[in-house]
Amino acid sequence: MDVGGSLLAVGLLLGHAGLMAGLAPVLLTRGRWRFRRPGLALGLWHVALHSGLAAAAASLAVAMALAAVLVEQQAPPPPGSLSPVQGMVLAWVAITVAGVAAVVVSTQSHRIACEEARTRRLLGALVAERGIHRTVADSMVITVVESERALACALPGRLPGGSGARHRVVVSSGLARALTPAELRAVMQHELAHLRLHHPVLVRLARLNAACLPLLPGARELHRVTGLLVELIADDAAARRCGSAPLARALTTIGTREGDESMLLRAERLRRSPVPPPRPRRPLLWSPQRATAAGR
Amino acid sequence: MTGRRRARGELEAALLRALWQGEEPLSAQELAGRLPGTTPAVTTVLTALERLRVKGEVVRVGGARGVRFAAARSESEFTGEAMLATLADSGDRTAALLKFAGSLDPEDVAALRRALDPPPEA
Repeated sequence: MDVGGSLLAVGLLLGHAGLMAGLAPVLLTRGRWRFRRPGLALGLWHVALHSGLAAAAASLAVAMALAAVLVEQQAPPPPGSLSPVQGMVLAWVAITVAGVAAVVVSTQSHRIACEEARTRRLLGALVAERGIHRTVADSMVITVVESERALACALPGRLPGGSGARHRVVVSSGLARALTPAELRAVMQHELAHLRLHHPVLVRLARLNAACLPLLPGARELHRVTGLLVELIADDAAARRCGSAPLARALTTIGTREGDESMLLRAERLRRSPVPPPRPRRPLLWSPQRATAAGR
Repeated sequence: MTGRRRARGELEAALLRALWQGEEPLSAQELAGRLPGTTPAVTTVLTALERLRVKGEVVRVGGARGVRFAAARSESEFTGEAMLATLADSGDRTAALLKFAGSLDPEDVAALRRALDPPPEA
């Protein structure tokens, strides 16, 4: 095993991880493009996150392999190489880093899982206490709860494989009364888009990353922007299905009522650049309209 | 010292529990006697009841035997509203709940405002 080459590889991989952690918050938190293309912005964040994490993990693996070779070597090391003692130090450093990382990740994911379980219990209790109407569609349970508050929220089911793991969407009767049926449909589509597009997983991942790397500005930024970008992505997805206008009206109504400026801004964004109206679901090659038009 | 003193919210919660358990409206003296642990001064109870009345949790019932108090809402109504408030007002980015309203970071809201700041050309 070429010692110089391996050390260079460790350095390059660590450099890549550092570059991703440093560049992403600089490049991906400025400009208006990220509000026009929230999906692209979040995608690029995740390219940086995953390639950075993979590079960090690979650098550890290479360091450990190199250390094993150095410790095992029989002949005295050639000039320019490392001694078995140096190999031992490298091995301990790599093992310590990997061990600390494993402990931090498992502690933080446990904490997040406990928080989620608490929210799940609270929502379950609310539905049991106040639920007045329940619809089951696909893998989702949609419940209307009696309250004057304007609440609409989605909670993912447990990870696939769990028994009876259903996504939950909860809407308050106050919200339903404040909106027209078309506006309410748009709100529901917004919540369903979160679930369909796996936003809970993205939010969870960003949160875990930020909890494990509290001192890294990039990790904090990712956690923060994920909250905004998933909302904009879900707005666009809902607007594609129901039209921008009803969703913008719903955002304005609820935002005014709850005193939430972010909702008014989201409505303004939809009005400025409306999402194209829903495309016809029929195949494009043949449709009754076309056939009759051609027959004339 | 601090162990004997009841926190403000704790006293209010204990008063509500006592009112839910009682079948009929209770006076401040009766309520003080029904609280668990050390019996607080009647004036303390009256102050807490007044706070609850302002919040709309307690109503005053004037009768021949003096002023009495009753819970404005049933226990289940109260807990339902409290749960809803917890869900609606919590920062949801910490708890996997994807809410339609009120979950964005102020810094992001400011960035979005700046992005939309120059009005579109008419």
